[in-house]
This record gives sequence, structure tokens and C-alpha cells, in this order.
Amino acid sequence: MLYKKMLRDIKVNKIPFIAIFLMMFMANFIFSGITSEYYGLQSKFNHYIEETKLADSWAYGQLFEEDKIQELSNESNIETAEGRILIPATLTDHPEKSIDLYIKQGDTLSKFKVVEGIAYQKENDGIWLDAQFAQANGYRLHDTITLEYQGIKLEKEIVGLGYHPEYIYHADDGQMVPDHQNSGFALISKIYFPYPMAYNQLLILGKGDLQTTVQNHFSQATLLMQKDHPAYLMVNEEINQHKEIGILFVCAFLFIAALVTMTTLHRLLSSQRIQIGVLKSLGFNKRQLFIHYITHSTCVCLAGSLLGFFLGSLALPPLLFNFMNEMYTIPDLKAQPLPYGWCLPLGCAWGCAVISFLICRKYLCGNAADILNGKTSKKKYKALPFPMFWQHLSFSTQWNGRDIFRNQLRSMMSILGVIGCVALLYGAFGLYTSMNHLTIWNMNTVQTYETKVTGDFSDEKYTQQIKALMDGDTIMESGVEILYDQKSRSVTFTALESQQYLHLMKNEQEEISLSDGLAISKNIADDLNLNIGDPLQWKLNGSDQWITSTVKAIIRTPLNQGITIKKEEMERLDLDYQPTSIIGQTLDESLLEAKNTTSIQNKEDLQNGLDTMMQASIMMCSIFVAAAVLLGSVILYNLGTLSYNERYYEMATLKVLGFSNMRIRKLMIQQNLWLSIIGIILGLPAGYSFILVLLSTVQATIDITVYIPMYIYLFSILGTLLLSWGINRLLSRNVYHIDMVAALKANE
Amino acid sequence: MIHVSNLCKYYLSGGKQTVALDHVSFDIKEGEFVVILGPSGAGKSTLLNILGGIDGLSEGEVLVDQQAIGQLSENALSFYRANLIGFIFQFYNLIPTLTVYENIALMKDIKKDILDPMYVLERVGLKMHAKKFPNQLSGGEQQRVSIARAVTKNPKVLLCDEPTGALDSETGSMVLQLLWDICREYRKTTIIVTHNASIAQAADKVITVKNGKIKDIQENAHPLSIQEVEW
Repeated sequence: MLYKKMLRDIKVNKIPFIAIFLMMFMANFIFSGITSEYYGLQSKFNHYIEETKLADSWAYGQLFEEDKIQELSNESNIETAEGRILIPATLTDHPEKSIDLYIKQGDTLSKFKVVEGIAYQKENDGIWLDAQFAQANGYRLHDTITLEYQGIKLEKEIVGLGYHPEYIYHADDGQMVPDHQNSGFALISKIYFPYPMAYNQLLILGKGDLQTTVQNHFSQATLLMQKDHPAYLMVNEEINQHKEIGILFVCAFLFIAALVTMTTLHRLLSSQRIQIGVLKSLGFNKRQLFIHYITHSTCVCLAGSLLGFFLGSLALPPLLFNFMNEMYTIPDLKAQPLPYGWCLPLGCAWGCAVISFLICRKYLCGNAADILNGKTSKKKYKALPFPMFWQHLSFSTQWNGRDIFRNQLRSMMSILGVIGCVALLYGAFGLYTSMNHLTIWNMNTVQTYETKVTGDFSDEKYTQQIKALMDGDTIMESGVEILYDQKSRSVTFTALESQQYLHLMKNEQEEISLSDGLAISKNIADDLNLNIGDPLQWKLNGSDQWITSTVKAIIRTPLNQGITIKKEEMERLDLDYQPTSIIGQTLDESLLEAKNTTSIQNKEDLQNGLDTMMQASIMMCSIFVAAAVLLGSVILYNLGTLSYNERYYEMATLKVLGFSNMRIRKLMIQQNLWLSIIGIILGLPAGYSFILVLLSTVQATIDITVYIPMYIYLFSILGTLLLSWGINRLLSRNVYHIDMVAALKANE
Repeated sequence: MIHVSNLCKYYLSGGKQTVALDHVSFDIKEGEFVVILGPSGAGKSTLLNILGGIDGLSEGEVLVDQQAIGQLSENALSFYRANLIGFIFQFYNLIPTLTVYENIALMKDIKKDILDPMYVLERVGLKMHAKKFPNQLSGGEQQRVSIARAVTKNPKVLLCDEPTGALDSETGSMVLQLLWDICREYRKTTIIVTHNASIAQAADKVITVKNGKIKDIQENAHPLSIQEVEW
């Protein structure tokens, strides 16, 4: 029978129990959704790189002879070393589409994973093509594809379509999102490549100090370790980002759920004081009553937690994977529950039981006579602080002020609910505007060129001709190893002919003119703790010459993290300036020589990539807004109901005394409005911190600043106030239904 | 059946000691219909609460069915209440979220050998209301449900705290008749706390309490039937 009583108690007090259910549901939904998503991503990623034997390290920057590769393989800490040739090719028919063409013998490291056609074998002629590039461009198995590199044309039949572990994440320079329409990779056997070339890349599988071992054999080589490879780095940073966001949300919802459980149980137990006394008088012992009342919230919590846990792993990962599939190429990406993840719903139920137990102790431990006489639960009213201050205020202000001070837990809960709501709204809008601002700032202020043509610009005459057509500048882009305070990093290197199209920004508005020394991006400077005036050692990939330059500027650059130098400075340092791209206005692409062009990147391509990124941020913002509205509605409605019920007799008395319904409604709304305003004032800095936390989880390759225009403050404040006002209006309508006689009689 | 000797009960209120019961002593035999009379604040309810094991005593000795309830642990007191005592309150104190039948069948959760709830409901004339919730019944009907709940446990002692206090005289008379019948029919020791002196005419023993002390104990050799009582 106590079980039936419990169910009916829950039904009678449905609003607060629904709040517990929803908060627990949300916490577990987000937890299981995000953990299943990132654990699925992590598992599939690990399985994929293990299956395809992703190399532990890559060496670039010089040519690698077969016999020296063999010598390296014989080193004790080297398991396998494999050379390959990479040439930047284009499609003959579409010179704007670039293909990284790999020419190799064996395929033991960073193996090609075939999804259609035959597996790679060096004895087979034909080409193995990037499956996503093929899909985006309509290529199918057994089609013929013609590639071109420096005038060399290569026509091959597509014998296999598939993926490559180094292309889990691959975006062109200056872009963030992979562009499968214009960029891809392909693989052919060295046997069937008609032009003799030496390996320009080396893949290594081994352990220990690979850097020293490799450089003992290839002194000019620059090593990229697996942890720094974009394919590995981006996925792992993504996983960490999701972990952090997940933990943040779960903690927030669990905290609110714990507070809701506390207020609900306090209210339930104090309203059932007589019933508790009666049950004790009838002979129910303390243990039975503890179990009975602990079960109330624990059952609801368990139900919400389990439902959230199961639905979360089903509903959330597909949403997130939509974006993941745009960014990363990992086969069979699907959700996978975190081992022992099921502990969370059980832990929530356990935590709820503990909270309930602690609260029950206060109400169930007295003897039956005291409980029946109300001796155990009488609220001890304390004098209000600053009594002189209160005396001079209006009745409604005094009444609400006293109620807030006397129901501190309830008031604190309301404020916390509003803080959560406004922080999420502000965070969501702020994140959106910051991301949007990043793209606008990047496109309009930092990278102001319309087109970027990448290719071979060793021919001075051709280069000048294209420069004139584009009204452009050459730039040199490469990889560089930097060294400061015994810490080294592999970053991007950019040499500028002028700052006409690539602007070096000190901050959002202020541009820096660089003449000597170098400029370093803020993310890298922060990482190495570098300041202006510090000396920095750097070495271009493919060179063994270390150069020391002074850091003359720290620049904000959204996408390219590395060092920037002027062409004149390179010449002063006796370094060879070899332009890799021309940036400038749009040009007729037919004027470009295919043999000298590896890719053409237009502003629209960059915009499309950023739009994809924005779509993901819009999705995330939508989730935040939904969470804000849910959190705000549940908390405000729950606590509003609680406040109404607790003040029912007082309001009935006011009605008996002649207060109009409208005046009592105003009293209710006034108190909630005060609490909302306090919540908003505290919520805005909380929201700002929330944005900082979110942005701190963004990959180190992006430098993003918080950008919050004034209207975002207005949206967040008005949105929260509107929600609070709407809910309070809804609740205050109950004033019309106060039964003065019944209420006062029951109070007696 | 019940032996009370030098029972004292003190309360501390605002650092000051208040005497609720002051060296109270009396005996009640099994199956007696006893009325405890006294004005408000005399200590009647405190006495009843101590007899029912829902409040502790400060000094003295209380033996109920040979158990010294002053020395029982909390769990033993729960067992005592569950097995020996049936409580009937002035404001009925039914569980509002349980139906009439469920309020009575609730006793199954604390005692195995209870009477058939339906039989008891029939006995108090409320079988047709078994599926109703307490708020759908009149005050008299709710008090009968409360009596049925107490009787269903088949306790040795029925303790009634102002059982007719919230009822009109006609309904109150019906409720008293029911209690009297149960006392006589099942030999239940029934103790009624009231400030209504009329009820005393139907009692086997009348204990008058004033200012926490026993003022008088009277035994009626020929108690009136409830119908004969003048209200």
C-alpha cells in the first residue's frame, strides 16, 4: 500500500517530480549521447589507424634513397621504414581540382583501405582513388582518370576506391573543412609510374627517440610525429573537446537536479508531516518510512536517468556524426557506449537516495507525538537583516523580501535556474556571433584575396604574368620547425611579398607592418610563452640550417598558426624565396598553365568550408538554446509552483483581508522578477565564462576571440525575462482559484 | 492490562521546564471502556501519547500488557504500536492519496495477522465506500474509516484522542456507539480522551486530569449505554 501511496504522492506533486525526471533525463541524455559519440569516434579511429598501420612518424624535406631507408630499417628502434613519392597533381580537365598522388612500392604503413575494387598491390596497374573525391566528382570504378603534374600526363583506370588514414582529416592551406569536391588523393604503383623519381617522403614505424635515429641517417629531414599529424591531432582534440563539453553539461544538470530533489523532498515531507506522524503512530518503523520516502525521488530519478541514458546514445550521436562526417573520414563511424557508462544512471539514483536520506533524517527522526504537534518541522524565523531598511519599504516589498530571506534554498534555486538559463542563452548566442565574426573577420580583414593559385612559380616570366593578371602577390608557404626554450613545434611558415592581401593583425582593428624579424601567431606564442623581442630559432622543412630571428610581432590569425616573415627579410637572411602561391583578384582560369598549377582556391571555396563549420556551430547553439529554455522553464515553473503552494495560506489570508486578485498576482510576479534580475546579473558573467570554456576547447589550430555585440546582451536578458514573465503569468493565474475557506480551515 | 505509576512528563520550552504530567498513577483492566476527562492543556493527550508509545516519559513507570514501554527502544516501540495499539485521532488522519480500502489494508504492511479489511469495513458500514478517497466522505464516515483502520490490526488497546471532537452530536454518537460496540464485542481496552463530560456516563472508568495531575478516578458500576447518554 505504501507503494501505491508513493505513486499517488508523485502524481499529486507531479510538477517537481517532472522537474527531477527532466533534469536527470537531460544529464544522462547528454552524457550517454556525447560519451557514445566520442567513444564511438575514438574506438573507430583507433581501430582504423591500427588496421591501416598509421605511421608513427613522417620524414620530409629531402630525398630518401632506397639503400639508406634499408639502413634505417635495421636500427633497433625502427620496426618498418617505407619510402613514397608525393606529387601534387591536378585533373587535366579540371585544373582547380588537386590530387595528392602517392607513388609507392609496398603498402605496409598508412595503408589504403579499399571500399570498392581490388586491394592495392604493387604488381597491379591502375589507380586507387579517394572514395570521397570520387563520389563528389562522379568517378566510378573502372572509369579512366587523367592527372597532370608539371606537364606530365598520367591516364589510369580506377581499380580501387577507398580511404587513407592520413586523410581522416585533411584541409587545404587556409581552410578548415575538407573540400572533397576539389581536393583528394590517389595511389599508384611505382612500377607503373613511367618517370624515375626518388622518394620524397619517409614513413616510419618504431619507438623511442625516432627524431635522433632518423636524423642520424637523413640529416636534412624534418620529422612529423603521429601526435602532431592533423589526422591524429584533430580527432583527438575533437574527442577532448566533446569530453569537456559533455562533462560541463552533465555537471550543470546534475547540480540542478540535486537542488530540485532537495527542494521537492523538503516540500513533500513538510507537507506530509501529519501523515508521517500518523504512520509512525500506526506502527510503521523508521526504516520503513525512510525507504518509503527515499523511494519517491529515487524511483523518479532512476526512471529519468535510465530513459535519458538509453535515448541519449540513440538520438544524439547521429546528430553529431552528421558534422563529424563533414570533417573526418572514418569508416563505419557509429556510436559506442562508454564502458561502465551505465554507472551514471545508477550513480544518479544512488546520489539521489543519499540526498533524500539526508533530508528525510530531518523529518523522520522525531517521535510521532512531536511530528504530529509540528514541533520538528517548525520553520525557525530569524530577524531580517537591516530591519530599519525594510520598515520604510512598501508592503509588497517587505512581504517579498521576507519571503526570499525565509526561503533561502528556494530563492537560491530560482536564482541558479535563471543563471543557468541566461548563461546558456548568452553562451549560445555568443558562440554563434564569435564564430560568425571569425569568418567575417577572416574573409574581410585578414585574408582579403579573391583567388589563390597554388603551383610551380619557378618560371619568373610566368609568375609575373599571373601576378599582373591577378593584381596579386606571391607568397611562400611551407612547414617549419621552431625551437624556443628547448621546446620545439612544427608549424606553418608563410613568407609574404607584401601585406596587400594577407594582413598581419595585432588585434581585430590594428594592423601591423612587418619589416624585419618575424611575426608569430598568438596561439603558438602562448604555447611557447614567447614575447615580442624574444629570439626564436627556426628551420625550414628540408633544410638543416637553423636561423635565429627576433619576434617582432604577435599576430591574431584565425586559421594559420605559425610564423610569418617578409620576402625581404628572407633575402637578408640569404634564404631562397620560392613562391608557392599567388594571391589576388579573380582571373580567367584558362590563362593558367595546367602544368604549373596544382590548385585554385576561390573565396567561395573558403566561404563554403566556413559555412559548414558555421552549420555545426548553429546546431550546437540550437542545442544550447533548447537546453536553456528547458532548464529555465523547468526550474522556474517548479519553483514557482513550490512558492505558490508554500504561500497558499498567506495568499488566502490576503484575499480574506480584501486584497484583489490582481494585487496578489503582482506580489507573486514581483518576487520572481527580482530573483530573475539577480539571476541575470550573475548569469551574464557566468555565460561569458561558459563561452571562454567552450572556446578553450576549440583546436589550437584556430585562434578565435570572443565577440559579443550589444544585441546579444539584449537577446539573452530579454529572452530570460520573457521566459520568467511568461511562466510567472501562467502560475499567477492560480490566484483566482484560491479557496479562502478551505485554505484557512486546512491551515487550522 | 495497563499500570501507570508516578508518571511524569516534562517539556523544556525556552530554557524553562514545563510539567505536563505530574506523578500520575492509575490502572486499567483488560476490556475496560475508559474515559480520560479534563480541560484543554490538562495533559490528557500527552498521557494518551505516552500510553501509545508515540511520546517518551520523563519519570515513572508505564506497563502495558506487562511491557514497560518507557524502556523500549525505538524499534521495539514501533513493534509495540504495530501490535498492541490502535490509534484514532480527532481529525481522522487518513492518508489522502489512498482509498478507504487501501487506508485499512495498509496495516498489512506492518502486521501479518490482521482482520480482513473488507469485513471490518462492512462492520463499520462503509463497504460501499471502499473505493472512494477520504476527501469524498463526510467527517463521520472518515472517522469510521479511522476506527476500522485501528481495529483491523486487532490491537489489544484502542487509544482515541477526541474521536468526536470534529463531529456533530448525532455523528459523534454513532462513532461512540461503534467504539463501545467494538470494546464490548471484542474485549478491546478502549481509552477515550475527551473534554466532553457526557461521554463519561458510558465509561467503566473515568479518569479526570487537571494541570497534569490526576484529580479523580471514578469507576461506574453501571455505565449507561451510548443511546442513554445525554449529549
